[in-house]
Amino acid sequence: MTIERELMRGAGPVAVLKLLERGEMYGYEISEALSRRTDGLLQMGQSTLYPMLYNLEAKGLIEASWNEEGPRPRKYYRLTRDGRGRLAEDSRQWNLTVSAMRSLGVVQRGLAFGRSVCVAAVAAIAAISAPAASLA
Amino acid sequence: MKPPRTVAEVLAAANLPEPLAARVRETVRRTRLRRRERVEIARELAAHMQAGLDAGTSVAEQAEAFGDPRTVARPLRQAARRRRSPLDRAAVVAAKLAGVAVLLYGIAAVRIATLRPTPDFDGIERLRAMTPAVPQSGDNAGAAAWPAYREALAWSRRERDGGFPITGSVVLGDVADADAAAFAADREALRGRAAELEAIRRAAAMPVFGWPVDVTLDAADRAYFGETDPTASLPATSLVIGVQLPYFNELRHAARLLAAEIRLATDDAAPAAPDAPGTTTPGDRITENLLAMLGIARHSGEVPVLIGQLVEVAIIALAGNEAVRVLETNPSLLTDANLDRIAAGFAAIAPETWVPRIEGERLMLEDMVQHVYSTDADGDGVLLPAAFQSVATPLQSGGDAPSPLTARPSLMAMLGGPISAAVIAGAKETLDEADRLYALLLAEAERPLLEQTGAYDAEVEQLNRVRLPLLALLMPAIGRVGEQLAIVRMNAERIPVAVAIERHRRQHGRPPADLEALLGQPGELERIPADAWDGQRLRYGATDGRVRLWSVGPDGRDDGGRLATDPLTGEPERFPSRRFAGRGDAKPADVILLDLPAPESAAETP
Repeated sequence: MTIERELMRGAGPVAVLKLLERGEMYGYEISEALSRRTDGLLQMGQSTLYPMLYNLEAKGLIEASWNEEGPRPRKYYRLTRDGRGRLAEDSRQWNLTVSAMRSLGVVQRGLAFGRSVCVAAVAAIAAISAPAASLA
Repeated sequence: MKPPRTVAEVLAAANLPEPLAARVRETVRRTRLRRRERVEIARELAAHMQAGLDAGTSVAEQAEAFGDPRTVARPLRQAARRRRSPLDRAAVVAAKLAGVAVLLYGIAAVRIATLRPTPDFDGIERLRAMTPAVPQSGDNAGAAAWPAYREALAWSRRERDGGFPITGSVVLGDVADADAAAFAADREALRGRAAELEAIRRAAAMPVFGWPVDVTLDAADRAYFGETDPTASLPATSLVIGVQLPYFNELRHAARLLAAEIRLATDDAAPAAPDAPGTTTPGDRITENLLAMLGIARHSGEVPVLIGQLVEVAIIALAGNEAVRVLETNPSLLTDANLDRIAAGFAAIAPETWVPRIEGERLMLEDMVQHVYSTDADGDGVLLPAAFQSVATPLQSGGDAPSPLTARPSLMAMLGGPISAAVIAGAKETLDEADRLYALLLAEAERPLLEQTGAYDAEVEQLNRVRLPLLALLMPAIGRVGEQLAIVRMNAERIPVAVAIERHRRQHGRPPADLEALLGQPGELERIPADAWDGQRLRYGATDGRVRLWSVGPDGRDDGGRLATDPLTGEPERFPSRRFAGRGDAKPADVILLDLPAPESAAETP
């Protein structure tokens, strides 16, 4: 299952920022991590991933540089100070949204994935945002 | 490792399977981004695919996951552009705007290049309407003076081609001092030409000159002027400026012949024999020739263009100089009746003779404007470089040019069209500025010379030649006209004064004590003329054992009518020019208009 384009547009960037919070990553690594950690829900092709990265770069939320060492040169992305600030703000917004959805019963307590696409998106973000321990 | 510089290098370095390489190549090509950006994206996509292959994904899966290059290229392009710096983006916008500007400029250039002048009046017809017409009925029906002149002058034109010896004069020159050799040559040239001179005088007495105003000459005139037609190089288009007026030299020459005749009459003079029946006395010859010269002058100014007016007054000046020479040296040749006719002839010169004849110049300019400007709905228009070129080239350097109505711009002229339209004044502004300058010229001409500020010349000097090219071409030529007219006017107006003094001398045995004594009696002087320089009455009195009529001259100072000395030659100078003025020392610089011997007895000195 994947989520709708519009939701991806809102969820994707904050998901990427969250991934980079722990350190720099290159494009393929990001896409793999997104796919793996959301069980394929936030899997995005190159046509979605790279424009998103460029947009974040244009906004100054991430920065990139080539690592030419090693057999495979790679372009690594990392969070900027602005990026950290934005991530904190977006996380807060998502938490509020999830709480609201949960109290409405849209997001089911203790269960990551629900019926509707909307619920799925919220759950996916929750999966990235929440500490790994609580995912079970 | 050195980063690759082209997409091909990127793909070669990545060593991707062809289906994947082709997708990368096609995608970055479709982004239409800059090379540096395409290389960057190609590297990143290739690295992604390599990582996928390294992780065990198949080529087919990768290709499938990548999708259609067209779909991938678009968001990549948009995002990559957003990543550009603000300065960079501004440069792109500026380049786009510049492109639009170039396009608009090109459209304007093509539009202007396709414009043609659309004259809305026939300037030549208008000039004809301003010129006195040959009478269609009555005693003089069909009588025009020009054919009569042409016939009368044919012999001299033939001889002039071989260098006819009669020489000219200046506006206020000293004809009396014509040197002996020239005088002998004049006598030789005029020998046996009494009939021709009489024919010239008859032509001069006709009321209308009747020049056919046109851009081409009729057969008779072509035969007459032949190869030496002085206006042959003007553009053969129907512009007022192309109107052929080759007769000025002929009329000036006719006047010079009569002036030479006057000198011969003076030289041949036996003492006056007024009562010899059937013969022409020297006094009559002098009188007839002077009056004929004034008639020739009037004919010269008939077509109302400024050059005609200048020839007109030059001939009046020549006549005035001749009359004064006779009155100073041989007054006894003239009977009272001769004197009265001469005075009346000069007094009858029309007052408008002395007003700069701007209307012809204005017409010429307006006609040029309608031939080199486009005409828009507001009656304004932009200058059309090709049309302007075809009018200006023959004026500046001679030679032929296409008609301004059909002239097509060269590529350079076409490209310059919008710039010249922006930089060069429109039709309206050109005419308005011309009218302002004309008004300035006329206002200046109304003042005495010393009160003139030179404002017209100063303004013409400062004319923006780029903005007002037509005015720069036409206006400088007419600057000095006011001064010429004023000086010749004084030259002519002194003749009735000189005649009245001579009549007074005959009556009272001596010249009058002052000019006021000449006023108020019937047949005598009506008024004392003004000094061209300071506007006061002309000065008169006894100086250095002579009786003189004088003007204060260009220095504006009354030196009591004492003769000036030419600072260069040391010779006495009756008509000191501008170069006398403004010199620090107190050398006299009066202009001596009449120089008569004092009466024998000192007691009778006025």
